[in-house]
Amino acid sequence: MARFAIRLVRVHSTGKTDRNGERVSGTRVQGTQKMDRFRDRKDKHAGETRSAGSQVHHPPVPGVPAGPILAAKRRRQLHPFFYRIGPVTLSVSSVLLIGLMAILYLSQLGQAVNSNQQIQDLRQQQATLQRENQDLVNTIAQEESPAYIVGHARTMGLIPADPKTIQILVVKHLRAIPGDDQSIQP
Amino acid sequence: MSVEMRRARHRQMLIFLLVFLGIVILLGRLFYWQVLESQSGYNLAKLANEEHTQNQILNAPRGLIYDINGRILATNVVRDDVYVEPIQFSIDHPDNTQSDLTALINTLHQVLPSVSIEKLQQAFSSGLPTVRIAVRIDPQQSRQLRTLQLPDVFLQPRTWRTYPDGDLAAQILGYVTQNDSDNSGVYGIEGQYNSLLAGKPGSFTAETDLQGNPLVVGADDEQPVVNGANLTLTIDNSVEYIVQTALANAVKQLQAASGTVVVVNARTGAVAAMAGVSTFDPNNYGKYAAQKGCLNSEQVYFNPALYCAYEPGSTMKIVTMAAALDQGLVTPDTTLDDQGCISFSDGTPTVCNWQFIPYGTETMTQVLEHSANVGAAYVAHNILGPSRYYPYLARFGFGRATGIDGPEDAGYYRTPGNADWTESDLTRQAFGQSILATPLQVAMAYEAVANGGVMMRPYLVASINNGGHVVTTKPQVERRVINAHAAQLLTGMLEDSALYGFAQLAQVPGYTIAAKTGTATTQGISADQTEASLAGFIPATNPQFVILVKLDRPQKAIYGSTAAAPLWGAIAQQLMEYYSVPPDAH
Repeated sequence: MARFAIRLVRVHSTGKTDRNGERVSGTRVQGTQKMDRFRDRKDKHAGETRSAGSQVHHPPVPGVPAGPILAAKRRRQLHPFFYRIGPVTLSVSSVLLIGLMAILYLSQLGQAVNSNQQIQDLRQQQATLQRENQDLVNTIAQEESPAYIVGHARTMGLIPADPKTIQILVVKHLRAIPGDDQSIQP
Repeated sequence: MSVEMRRARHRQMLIFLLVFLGIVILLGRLFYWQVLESQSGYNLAKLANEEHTQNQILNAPRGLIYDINGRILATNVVRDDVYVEPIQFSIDHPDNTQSDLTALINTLHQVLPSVSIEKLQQAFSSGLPTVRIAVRIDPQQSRQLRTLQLPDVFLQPRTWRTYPDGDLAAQILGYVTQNDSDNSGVYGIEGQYNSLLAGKPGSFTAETDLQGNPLVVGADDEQPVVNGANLTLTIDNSVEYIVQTALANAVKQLQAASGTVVVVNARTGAVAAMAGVSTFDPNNYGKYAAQKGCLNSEQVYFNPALYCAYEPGSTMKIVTMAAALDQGLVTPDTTLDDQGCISFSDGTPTVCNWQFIPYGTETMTQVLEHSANVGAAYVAHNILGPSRYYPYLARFGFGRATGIDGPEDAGYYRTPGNADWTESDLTRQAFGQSILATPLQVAMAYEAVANGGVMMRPYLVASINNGGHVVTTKPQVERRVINAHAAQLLTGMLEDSALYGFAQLAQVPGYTIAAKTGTATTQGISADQTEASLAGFIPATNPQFVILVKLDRPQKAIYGSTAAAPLWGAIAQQLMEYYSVPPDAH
């Protein structure tokens, strides 16, 4: 029966146990109430009685290696959690965890939606700026057009030059000036 | 187990089974609606997608057109159309509908004074879901409406093609139709290169929010937009303005029906300017639908330089002389006896000079100076003959398209291969009658002479920039028409023609020119209804530009020498100044 009993052992901070998994150097091994009840029934059958707080020497179980390694191995196999956790605690923790995940998800979603809105605003701005740019390009092109310049010149009082008044002066043996000659700059 | 325990266990089991059954039923319904009905039957998936998935068409911006200096000739702007929603207005204003409507109409009318109150009232009483009340409003009006945020009124942006220079180079550019369903280029460069300029629209499919804005987080599918290509033309808008203005002034002053000018780079064949009067404003192309050009034979949208074939008259005499010079059959000093008229032994009709003027013994050079029909007919009939004349007409490009960017008229003349050809055609074609040619064809014939006998292919598009990939047009040799020596001799003859002949009014101070006038009459029409023209190149010693001017039915001066020559000279002089071409006259 002892082989199949779940033995939940809480070990104090010094961590030293004997080969039965019981603390040495005066530490007390505490079992669960179930374990205690099981022990009581066993002891009762064995004709022994035991009071809480006393050290118990358990007889070795045939076929099961004894020692602290065994205890540790059993703990890893039968008790995967590092700590005890009851169903209520587990439920509350689960709810909290799910709630946290939901909050994180909603937060990210909110950020995505916010970014989406910002992107829409930026696109709107971009479209507006592109439109303004096109208008400016068009305005510049209009004001660069020869007809506009001539019209503007006329309103400023300028008149077209008379081609007949242009005189061509022919200078014989004139050679082109190579490059820029700074000495003849005005 | 006691009886009560057993009964309790049975009740437990029953409740469990009932709950389990309910869950199974719910799962089954869920499966039915979520899986089976979503793809067939009600097709719920499709309905849901239509509800919150939108497919937007992304319009491709149309490519811009530039002149050779990078100045914009055609661009795009976005303007809003204004729509109202009459039905929605009625729903939103169940009480006080009339007073609210009046207030809205008054506000709209204040912002859009061009839209009358009656029109607005009509729009709101139409019972339609949407009604467009204004098209292409000003940016300022758009801003006002956006600020006011009027209920049941919305703005729909639309892209418009705009030509900042107005009617400048309109017949070269063409225009873009601005319909609700179709925006495509028509005539000119816009029509010829429409598919390149238009680009390719894209699409964007994405989940949308309540306002129809696409969601970043949702799945999306985008087909990218391919922007329209940008074109750079060979024309210079300042030169185009000079040419167009001078032509318009001459047509007005001489009371001509119409006119055309072509300016071509003598070495490359690039078109520097091309103008026609009458013309149109592509920003308001619809206004000109009823107007005609080309002596009322074509719509004003057609480029007359490419479409208006005419009888070139005496400007064609250089082809006759070129053919004879190239084959070594004459020299500039070869003489003939010109008695004012010439008869032919084979019965070909007599050909006479203008006003039957006899010039006596004249050289070939003097034939051009005097613009003597007798001399030209003599060379064509007695020296060349059909077998040595017509090949030169073909080599000079007459009777076929020049190959410029865009559709054009090929012109026409009868050859011995035509059933109705006679020897009279030969003698008359020698001085530019009985032959139809476009202004560009005549200009390119002179270009071949100016370029040492080599004809270049004319072109209007200098480069195409398609998404950063630039393709530049390289000048292309069409063919050698005459040898270089013949071209040089002919240039000398044309110089003398300009100095001592009828083209004297075309002289440009400081420059030598090589030019020939032309005055053509049309059979069946009064002799004072002429087509006065002048073609030539400048400077003669180092040709830069070939210029052809043509005035149709000028009234105040009807000859090439008096009507076309002054216009040619004015344009040539401004060209030389604009391009700072050194004078070459001594």
